[in-house]
Amino acid sequence: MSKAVLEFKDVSFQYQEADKSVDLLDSLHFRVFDGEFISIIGASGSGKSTLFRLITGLEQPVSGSIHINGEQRPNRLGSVGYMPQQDLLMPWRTIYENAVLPLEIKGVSKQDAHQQVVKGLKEFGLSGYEQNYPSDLSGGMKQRVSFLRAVLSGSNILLLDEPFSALDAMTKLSMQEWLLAQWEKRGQTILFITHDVNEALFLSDRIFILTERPVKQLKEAVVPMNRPRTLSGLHAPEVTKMKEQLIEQLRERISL
Amino acid sequence: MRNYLPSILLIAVFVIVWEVGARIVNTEFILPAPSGIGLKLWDLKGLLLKEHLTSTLLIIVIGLAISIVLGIALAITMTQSSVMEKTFYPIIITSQTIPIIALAPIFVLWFGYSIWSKVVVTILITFFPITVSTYDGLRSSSKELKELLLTMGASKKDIFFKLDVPSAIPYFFSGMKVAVPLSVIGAAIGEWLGAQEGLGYFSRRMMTQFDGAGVFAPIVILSLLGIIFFLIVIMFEKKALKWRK
Repeated sequence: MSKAVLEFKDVSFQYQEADKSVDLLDSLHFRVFDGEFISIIGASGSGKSTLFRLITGLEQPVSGSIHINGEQRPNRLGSVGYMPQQDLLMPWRTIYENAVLPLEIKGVSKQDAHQQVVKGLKEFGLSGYEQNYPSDLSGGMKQRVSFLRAVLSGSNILLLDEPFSALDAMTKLSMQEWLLAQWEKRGQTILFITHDVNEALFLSDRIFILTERPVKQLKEAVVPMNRPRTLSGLHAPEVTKMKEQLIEQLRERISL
Repeated sequence: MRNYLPSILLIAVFVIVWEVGARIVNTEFILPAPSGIGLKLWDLKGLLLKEHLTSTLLIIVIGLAISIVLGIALAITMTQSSVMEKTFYPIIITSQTIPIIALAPIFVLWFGYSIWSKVVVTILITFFPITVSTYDGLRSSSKELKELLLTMGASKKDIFFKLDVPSAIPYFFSGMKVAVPLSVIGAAIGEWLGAQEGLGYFSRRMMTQFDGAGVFAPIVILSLLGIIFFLIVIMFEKKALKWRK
């Protein structure tokens, strides 16, 4: 946890709304270290998704700089793996063809891509579904394909935008455990947007809370739980206390 | 096949009523009986299929082919350039208010009795559904998917071929399903107005000879032609969209 893989330096961002610009981020500063699992929570409209759009390069900051793996590049597109809220699989592509998409775009040779995808599908428990279409798969399986697609982008930073919000409670739980196992195995850095405080506590090392607007700094909570995590760990007194504090902070924001 | 049973029954009833009605009225040159049309078809099969069908088929195939190439090219141009879109889209829409069928004699004037006067009518009548549906299809691609592709570092070309084109294919086939029956109409109308062969021409010639069955016989072939073309489009559609269930 020594090297900062993602750093925001005095980043400000505004968006246009009916002829006037609204400040969303104001000189925001934060760092994410190699191999961390970070959750970002906040009420809707608090700028969580904007953070992701800035990191992926879909948006540019008004001022300040964003450093990915120590480099500051104006064109960040293609430098991090992004998993959107809906699975966003292409319905006309088979599971294999969906997973291979980032490799196709990066111009990886067919043979090399084939090896990576087959290996990935196997590790993600999707072997045998290569030739199926997304409509044949359950919600949890589609999310796994979507996650695999983000992983195959080859980036050491993965952004996951409320990936499990559309799943039922049981599937969600097993997907969370599955995600943790994958993360522990791969050692990538994960930024995870959620509005589920339990989910954030269960998964992450640190939690960023977006409360004010414009966002000047991130409130940060270090989760007091060892790894590997278990569900019963969520009932430890210091964890429940933190949970209450987090909910309190989010509630303040909403009552504004 | 079971699904079509009610339609088949209805058509059978219709044909029987027609047959009985025609026999009661008993004026073959105005209302020929279905059996009479069938006999006529059999008598003229050589002439109709070999000479007139070939000629009409050629018009339809050439007209549709040009329409598809032109329609897709224009649809792509309009999605890639907003100047082209602003220039052509209103023109394409308003062009549909021009009665193309009424224009057909002009084409006879220009192209004479050659195949091209008929091909032009076919193109004008089929071009619109193909262009507009393809254009709408190319623009229907999901914005979220586009952004996702961008986050993967996709180029404009990637987005066009991996997202816009596959999104447009179902729309293109919808356009084709409208265009194909229209192409048969276009060819037949073209032939009425200026031709020396073809099923439309033959039907009209039989009218001047008060041969009711002779009018209907080529029309039966024209309808079958439309149905066959439609089925071919559906076959290709199923093949291209096998992911859709």
